[in-house]
Amino acid sequence: MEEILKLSHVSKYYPKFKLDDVSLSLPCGCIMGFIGENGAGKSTTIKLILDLVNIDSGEISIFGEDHKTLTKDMKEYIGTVMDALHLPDEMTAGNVSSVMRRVYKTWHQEVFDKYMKKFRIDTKKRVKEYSRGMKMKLSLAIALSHDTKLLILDEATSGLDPVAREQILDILLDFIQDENHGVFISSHILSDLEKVCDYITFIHNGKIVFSEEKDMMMEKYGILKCSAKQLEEIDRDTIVAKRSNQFGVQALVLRDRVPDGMTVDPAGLEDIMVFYGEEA
Amino acid sequence: MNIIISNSCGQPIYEQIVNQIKNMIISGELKEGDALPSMRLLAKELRISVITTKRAYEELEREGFTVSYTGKGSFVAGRNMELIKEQKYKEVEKYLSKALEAAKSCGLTSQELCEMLVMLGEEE
Amino acid sequence: MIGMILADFYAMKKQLTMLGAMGALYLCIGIVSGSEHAMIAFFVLFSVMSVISSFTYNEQCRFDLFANTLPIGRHSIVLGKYMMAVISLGIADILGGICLGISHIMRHGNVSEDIDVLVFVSMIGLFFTSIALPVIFKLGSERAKFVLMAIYVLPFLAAFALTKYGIIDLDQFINVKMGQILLFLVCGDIILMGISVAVSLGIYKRKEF
Repeated sequence: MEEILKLSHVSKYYPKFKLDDVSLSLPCGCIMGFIGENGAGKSTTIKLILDLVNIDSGEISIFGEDHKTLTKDMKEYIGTVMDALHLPDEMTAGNVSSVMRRVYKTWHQEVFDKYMKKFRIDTKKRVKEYSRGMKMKLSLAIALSHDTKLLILDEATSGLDPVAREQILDILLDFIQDENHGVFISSHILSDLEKVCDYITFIHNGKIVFSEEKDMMMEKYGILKCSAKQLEEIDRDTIVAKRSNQFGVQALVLRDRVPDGMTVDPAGLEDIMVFYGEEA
Repeated sequence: MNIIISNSCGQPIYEQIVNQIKNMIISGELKEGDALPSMRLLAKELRISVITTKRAYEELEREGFTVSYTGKGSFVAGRNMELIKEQKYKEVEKYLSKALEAAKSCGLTSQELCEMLVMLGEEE
Repeated sequence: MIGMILADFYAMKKQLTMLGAMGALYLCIGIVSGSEHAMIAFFVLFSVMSVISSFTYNEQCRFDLFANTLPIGRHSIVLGKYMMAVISLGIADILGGICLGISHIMRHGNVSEDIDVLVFVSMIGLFFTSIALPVIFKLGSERAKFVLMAIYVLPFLAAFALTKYGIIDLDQFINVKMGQILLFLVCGDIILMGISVAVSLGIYKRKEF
């Protein structure tokens, strides 16, 4: 199995929004970052993968199998961490593990206990008393305490302090040491993704703008700062998007097409996303 | 073994890794047959993409510095001295070409350049 | 399925403790005051209420989003609710039985009449549950409340109208035909429950979260 997750021409129609012809592919042993502004379709895409909403057209395959034929047992191998902990306020971590023990055939209580210790979560404390960070960590602990091969995180690190985020990134990097695992993470915290992701997929207004190896992409794009006149002299195809100010112009460009002699600064993920946003 | 990468020096990360490992091999810090850390472990410890480390290792193998065995990992290749010499010769040639260009641009002949080189050599 | 029922019980810990306390109180009141039949109605009411509340608790934290990522089919989630309804009703019946039993020891009432009342009230409870659950699965507990209130009022209005206009003499009806009514209710409820489960399964299968 080469690809742990693959979306082919997936579409989903809502009255005011359309997820249009989304295709992406995550090879085994890799981490894919999924970026896009709010409302771009990230959560919708993840819900389609998790079968929380129905697909209108296209195919999704997980572990090499069409997700329509995927049995519920396959969910033993999928771990999900969402942007909020969707558990009742009165439950404690101890309650959670008694429920999970009966739900997952591959539940490993000792792994869960280890994470509870590591994250310093009091198993007798009720969910409503948890800080945001603790809720996320509990979510992650649940996701990692069964035989998860594909880990899906939807804005799981937003609202966390940098120390907590580092801790989670460390755990993700550990998780991906196994070549049969995969991580699909959507996030606004691009600095995190820039560090650890192998692939980046950028979605904008329901369409995929690009989905490629992070390194290649960071080498492909650059930021050109010059005067408006100088920009006009450059081939249209080189320029992806531009922002003008009173004193000049900044443009997101394709590096290798920029004429020699012009300085191109490296473009980070944030730059790329913001420039594409401008263009819209 | 220390591998230190910089995000801000402008050089692609995989190149930095390639150069540092090459230097370790040249200096003898890494000997023939020594195992390199696994691609995944290196990626994790340096907090970079595994594709970057893979690219670096592929480059090292392509240049003959390392050899990899499926399932076992990458190891420092033997018969390095010739390769290293060849590499270094190429580097010297590169610098000399640059010197020649600079010389031409200010009117020095290649003869005068040679004399300059000999003088510099004697100073050392 | 057991996991889901357990999760619901954990979620409603506080409310169930309160209900338990109220249940014990009503039990005592029922035994002491001799109004056991009324108490049975309360127990059954509490049991139906707890099942409906469990939906509200789930919706508050969007538990469905979590539950549907678990390796349990959607049918497990639906059946879990029905199982919970049956268990709740069972507990209500046990409490009712205790109430009646103790009362009987003290007052020597009519055993068969007591059992008839227990079965009758339980079947009414089951009837309401069978109607309520698919409506809640479809509309969510907030919107379902209004629909359910309208639905619940109907049988009472019908019974009221029928007796008022002399079409049925309620007292005679109950005394003479109780046995037949109960049989009808039990069979009807079983069939209705079956239909209810099928409808709920169909609704939940295609639901989007």
